[in-house]
Amino acid sequence: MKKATNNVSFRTQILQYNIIVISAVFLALVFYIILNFYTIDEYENAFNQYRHVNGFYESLDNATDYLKDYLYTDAAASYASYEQEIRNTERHLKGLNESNMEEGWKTKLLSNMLDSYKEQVQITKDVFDQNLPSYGDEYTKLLDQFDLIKKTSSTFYENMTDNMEVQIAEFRQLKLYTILFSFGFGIILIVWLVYYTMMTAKGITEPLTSILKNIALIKQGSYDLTKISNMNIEMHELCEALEEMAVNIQKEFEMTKEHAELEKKLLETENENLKKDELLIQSELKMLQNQINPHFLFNTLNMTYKLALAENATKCSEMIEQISILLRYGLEKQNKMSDLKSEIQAVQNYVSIQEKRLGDRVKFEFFISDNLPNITIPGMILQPLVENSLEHGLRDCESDGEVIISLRYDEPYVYIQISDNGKGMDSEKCEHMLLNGFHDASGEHLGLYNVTKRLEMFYQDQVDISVDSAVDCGFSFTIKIKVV
Amino acid sequence: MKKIIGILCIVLLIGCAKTKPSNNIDVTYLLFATPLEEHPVWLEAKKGFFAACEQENYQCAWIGPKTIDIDEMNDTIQTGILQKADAIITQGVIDENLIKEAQEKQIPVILVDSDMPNSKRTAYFGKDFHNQAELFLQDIEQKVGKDEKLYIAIQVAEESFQIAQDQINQLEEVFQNHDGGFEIVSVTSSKSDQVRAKREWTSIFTEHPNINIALNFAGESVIACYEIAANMDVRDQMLIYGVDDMDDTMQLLLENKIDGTVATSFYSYGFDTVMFYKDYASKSQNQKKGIIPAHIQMVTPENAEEYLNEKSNK
Repeated sequence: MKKATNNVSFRTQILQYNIIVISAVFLALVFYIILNFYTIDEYENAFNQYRHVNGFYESLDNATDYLKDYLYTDAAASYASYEQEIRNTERHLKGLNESNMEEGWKTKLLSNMLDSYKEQVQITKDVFDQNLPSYGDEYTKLLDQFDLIKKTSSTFYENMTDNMEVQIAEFRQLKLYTILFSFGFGIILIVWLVYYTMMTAKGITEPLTSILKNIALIKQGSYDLTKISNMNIEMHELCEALEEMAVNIQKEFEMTKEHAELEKKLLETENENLKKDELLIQSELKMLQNQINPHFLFNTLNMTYKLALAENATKCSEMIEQISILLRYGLEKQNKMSDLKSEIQAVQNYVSIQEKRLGDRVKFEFFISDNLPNITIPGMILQPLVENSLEHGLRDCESDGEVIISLRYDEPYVYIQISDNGKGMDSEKCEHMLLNGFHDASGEHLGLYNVTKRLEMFYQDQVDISVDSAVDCGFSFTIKIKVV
Repeated sequence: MKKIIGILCIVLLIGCAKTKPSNNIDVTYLLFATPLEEHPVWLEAKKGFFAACEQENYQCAWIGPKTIDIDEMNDTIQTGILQKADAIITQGVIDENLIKEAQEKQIPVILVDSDMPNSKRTAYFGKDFHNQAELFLQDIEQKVGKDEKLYIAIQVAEESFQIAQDQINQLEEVFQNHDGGFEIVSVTSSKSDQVRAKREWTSIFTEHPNINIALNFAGESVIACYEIAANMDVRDQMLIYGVDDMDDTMQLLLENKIDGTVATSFYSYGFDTVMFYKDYASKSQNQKKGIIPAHIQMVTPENAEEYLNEKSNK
């Protein structure tokens, strides 16, 4: 499970959303409040400028009146009033300076004019106090200066009016910008809110839908929770729990599957065992049948042999003797160990009997090498193989049948081969039989099966059995035993 | 999203942090007391004046009457003195006492276009009227020959202005050299008013049908002169001259409707006077500079286009 990349909880996401909304609204409020303050300040500023300019000229007007009064009456109170009015003009100048008016440097011109005026007042007052003849000229000069200063008021008012108009134009533009900004901000905020709400809703519903889909896929083992798990902490935890549950389910599922397979195998084994048991029972039954008969058969054969001798039936007595030896060997060596020479002797007895029975129909040939070692071998191995050739390969043979029994030693191996020129079998079936150890459910090749099993049990990996056959091309059974 | 909010905050803060220039700054205040506040010729000077002020970061004022009014000009200068302007630039048509008063208060007065050589002005930027008269004579003789007698009608802005007298005096002095002789048959004033200018020219052409030279020393006069001469069907019998490079004058030249103008750059008057003040104020011991002649040239229909190209490239 991937670590949650969006390392915040859903609760935090909602909290962030609320904080952002509140912040945006707060910012908009702050913006409008600042804008309001700015507008009010500007209006107040303009008003103050008007007030101070007006106050400046009015105070200067009053000051001139008081000065005139002083020059006419010589009253100290008038001069004091003049000084008071001059202080008022200075106060208004200071106010104007602080009002941050556009082209504020022009207040310096007012200040300079006031200084020039005060200088002229001082000169006029001095000549007045000293009663000098230049008083008239200085007084006229003073009034001229006053008139010039007064004339400048129109320029200042015009300037201020122009500034106000510029300011009004600015306010109109500001108003337009504010409307556009509010509109734009509102649209952006609404779009963002809708988007964020949709995303939040999607963030809740989509993982749940995806989880539901994945739950259905869990039992198939093809689920994928990684995309959902990194959405937030809660989803990550939920996905982790689901992942753990899915792993457990998967394990349980696999265990159940394994268990079922084991049970199936067990049943198959049991089934096979049952079949083996059945075969065993059949075999044992056959053996019992074989065991029941011998006592009776040997007594009968002995009596028959004696009768044949008494009646000089030499061939008959000879044959009976061979049958008796063969049966005795069979009974003694069945499921017991024998040796290769005894086996050859037994099969020669069997062949001798069968030659008398079959006459010219089947011809038997032995090829036994001289250096053949007399190795230990389970009893009754060769005779069933010859019997198999007669019963299956040459059963329907009416003439020219041939069975070849070949035994040779090629150190370290002893090769035993029983072959016939009977009807044979197709190679696929032959291969199938060999792979299954000649086991056939019908019990048809029980002899081959018994021979093979007993050889493999005795020699284990020292023996190699092969068959070679084709339809209408005979059948050949080869045993290769490694002599240790 | 956090970034967007951050940017929004910064924009708001920047938007709200509008500052205004402080009033308590040490300013240099130059006053141009113009004789005509809205006259096209003087508006050229205004352009040069404010271009230089902006370049040097000076606070400047352009104040003057809308029609010729010497008293109003005097009041403007008197106010400039009261306001303790750092320099006053004006035409030399004002009360000489004001220049003296300004000088006493260490305010340099720079005259343009018209001089007051006996005043205490700091400097004078203007035409050399002798040179101007020579240019006129040279061009006239090229066109009518040296033996033709010249019957000259002159229109000035204001006859009483020293500048008008100076121009006429220099003209008389220079034209003495004309072999065919000359006669100034009329001197009139337009008072910087086109209606008056037309009226004056109408009466002059009626009274003096033999006029073969019309000299216009006022900007609006040359237009009025051409229109009246053309209307009265006397245009071909005379040469018409102006003394400025106003758009209307140059247009008449380009259309071959007048014969020439002795042009000088009023823009330079505005610009150069400010630069002169800068140089003057920077020196510890201020000295009078006297007369600073302006560059003048005769512009005719043949070189009018070239002149305009050169002017636009400056």
